[in-house]
Amino acid sequence: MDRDRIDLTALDTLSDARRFEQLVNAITRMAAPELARRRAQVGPILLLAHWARPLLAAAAVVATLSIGTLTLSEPVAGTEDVVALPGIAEALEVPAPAVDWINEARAPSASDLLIAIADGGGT
Amino acid sequence: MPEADARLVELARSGDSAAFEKLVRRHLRAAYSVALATIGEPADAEDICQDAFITALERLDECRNAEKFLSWLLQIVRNRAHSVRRYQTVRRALPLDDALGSAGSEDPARDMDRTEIRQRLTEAMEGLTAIQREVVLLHDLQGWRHREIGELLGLPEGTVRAHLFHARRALRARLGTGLFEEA
Repeated sequence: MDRDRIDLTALDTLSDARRFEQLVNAITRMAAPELARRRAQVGPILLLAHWARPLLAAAAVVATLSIGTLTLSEPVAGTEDVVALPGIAEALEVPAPAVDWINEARAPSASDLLIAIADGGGT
Repeated sequence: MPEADARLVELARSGDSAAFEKLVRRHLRAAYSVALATIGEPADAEDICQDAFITALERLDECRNAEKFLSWLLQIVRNRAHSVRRYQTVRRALPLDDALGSAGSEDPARDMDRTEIRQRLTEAMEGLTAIQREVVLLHDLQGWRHREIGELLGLPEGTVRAHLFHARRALRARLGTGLFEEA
């Protein structure tokens, strides 16, 4: 025991075990609404957190499979333009005669325009 | 092995009542001593402790370093105690059971002696600086070691010893020798 220690226990109301318990109970009662609010707040966040991991894992699997599929189904070199041009022209609803001007990289003549208008109007 | 403060703070942040209660039980005495060091009156110190723990819970997300929860809590206690001292307006605290009285016993004569001693101690403590009061209360009342007090208050151990020495000397000068514990 420290001989110099000063007996200050008269100042310590919490040295009484019952008093200590009462103060603890008072604090925990006052804290109850805030603790309940925090529990309610954590609920939805936890739910999202539980879903986030499986969703991210699933997305990673789908991405891996997609990359693999695209890599394996790469088209033969040199065929892209031939295949793509009619597809684009059809998608844009370009009249068939106009596709010839584009392929030949020339300006249309007056007869080409008449044919194109007639063909476009017919479709 | 007791759970670390950091873990209990984390649980309390998510609304765990048991974790919060453990924090209260673990640190209530230190909080009380620091409040008492500032305010002087035991009843006010209890009210300040209630208020400080609730404030700490409400602001728990601001406690950046949960391992230093006690230091952070005691700063709230000090601020609250200074505020009360200035304005004497404590948030209305839940009343403790009046049936118990203020730590009374079944011996009125003993209670009277205790009240008188308390009064004398309170007056003597008034003559100390705030840091001296904190050090002497944490050391002589709560039984903390110099090193622990130094870590808590951010002071070198030697400085803590010096504060304790001067605090005790000043208290002895005011109180005489009757209140000192025998070895």
